[in-house]
Amino acid sequence: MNLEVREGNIVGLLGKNGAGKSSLLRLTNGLLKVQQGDISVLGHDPFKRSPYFLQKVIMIPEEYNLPDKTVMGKFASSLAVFYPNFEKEKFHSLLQSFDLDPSKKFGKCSYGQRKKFLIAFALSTGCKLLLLDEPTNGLDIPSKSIFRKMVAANLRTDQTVIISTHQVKDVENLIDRVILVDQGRIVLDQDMLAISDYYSFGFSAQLSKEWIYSEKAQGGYHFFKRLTPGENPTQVNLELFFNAVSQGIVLVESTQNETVL
Amino acid sequence: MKEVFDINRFGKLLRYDLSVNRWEYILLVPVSILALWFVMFMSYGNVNASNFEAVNYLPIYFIGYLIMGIFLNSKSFGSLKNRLSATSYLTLPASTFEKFFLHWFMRIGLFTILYPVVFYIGVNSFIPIFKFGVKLYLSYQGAPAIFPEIAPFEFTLVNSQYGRFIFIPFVIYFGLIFALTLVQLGSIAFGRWNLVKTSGVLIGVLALFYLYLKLIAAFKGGFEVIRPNFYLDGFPEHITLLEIGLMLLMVITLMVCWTATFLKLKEKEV
Repeated sequence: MNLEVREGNIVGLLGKNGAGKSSLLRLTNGLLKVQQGDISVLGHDPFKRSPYFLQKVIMIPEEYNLPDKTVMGKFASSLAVFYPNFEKEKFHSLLQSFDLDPSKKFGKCSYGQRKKFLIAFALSTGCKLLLLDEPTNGLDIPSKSIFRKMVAANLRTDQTVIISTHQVKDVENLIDRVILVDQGRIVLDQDMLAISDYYSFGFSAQLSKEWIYSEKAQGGYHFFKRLTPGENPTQVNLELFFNAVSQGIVLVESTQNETVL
Repeated sequence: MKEVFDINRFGKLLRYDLSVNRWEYILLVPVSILALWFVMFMSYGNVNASNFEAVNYLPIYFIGYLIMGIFLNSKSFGSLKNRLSATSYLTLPASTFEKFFLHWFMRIGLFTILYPVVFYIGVNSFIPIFKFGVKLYLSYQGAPAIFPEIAPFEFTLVNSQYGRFIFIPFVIYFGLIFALTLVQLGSIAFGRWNLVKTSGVLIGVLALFYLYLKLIAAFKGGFEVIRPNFYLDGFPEHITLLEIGLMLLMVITLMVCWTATFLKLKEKEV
């Protein structure tokens, strides 16, 4: 696996269950030791877990453990002191947006509320790298929308976000680069803009030979085809594209730093 | 150097630890005092007609230290026993040394300082309660209210009993800290059932050591051949080379245990 992530990117790390997405995040965050090769994150070897590295990176794991008897606001205060760029006002504003009460104990919060707390906290830390593992799991529909808005609105240009998910629909309007992982290998690494410049996505009642890939849906077919000259780019249907790549229908050729469609 | 240890960051870690484990720390003192009251009730109850001398507190004091210390240290690195809490703990922006030292500081260092205070409060607060209870009981029975004198516990007792041999309480404390360090290492090395597994290892080590002594005795014709006499002020008059060797071995093993605990934390993967 050869991967380089630039500053300011919002990267979607997609793949089936067991593809290696979470392991990649854990390697990036210093929770796993690299068995072969090298990894450098913000100029640090993650597994050394230097405090200077850890205060620049925050991860929201898919599952987490928060102390049931502790009040949300108090817990945040004891943790916030570790992050020198923590923005208290932003944190309280995000809690408000997510409709969370900081005086509530974690034991009385639902799974989704706990996740929203962690998202609000992570966005307020000012960390240069945010690693979000399945961030929309457990969120209700309005919260998913708020999550997308909050991430987009609260990031500085020097911050990078890597979102690992198989809930492709939740992040397709948020990410600007997509990485597909399968069996521990990167099978696609491309900017969303490049995909929309190369393919046209749509829905039609009639099948067409022009289509590269299609999936039957209620009343017709979701499809994508090559974007023809003069045709306007369309919104990328990431789930459809993901399924096509997974089935080997879209041929991709990975070079060291880029993927050729 | 600040990457390894920074006093400000350590303070933050301490505050975080107190915030997360506050109930464990808060409850430990009253529960220990209640347990101590129960032990003292049993001890005073056995006194019968003779007085309860201050020296009788010593075995209770040291055994109490060991039991409480083992309980406290078996819960060291509790966050690492669960995959989810381990993720949060390992990614907390503090150095591995600070995380290791926090556990040592709270569960061995601070505990060793605070234990005598808890023991003092526990024992001395129970004496009037016990006397009042006995008085009530005897008056209910219609018997004369005569009961033995109970000496209070004093801080100086632990050292004063050994006269000029300050070496002995030092050795006792050293042995106790050694035991707690082993329990702390066991808690990070074994995860679940750590106390049982650590005890197993300890029994195994002691058995090996016993075997080693037997072998020496068999080859050298007994320990007496390596017994020179030491006459150092403050030391027991007869201290054998074997005892000095044992002490050195304990110091080295203690260092090895601390290093092993630190490395185990450093290399922990989730």
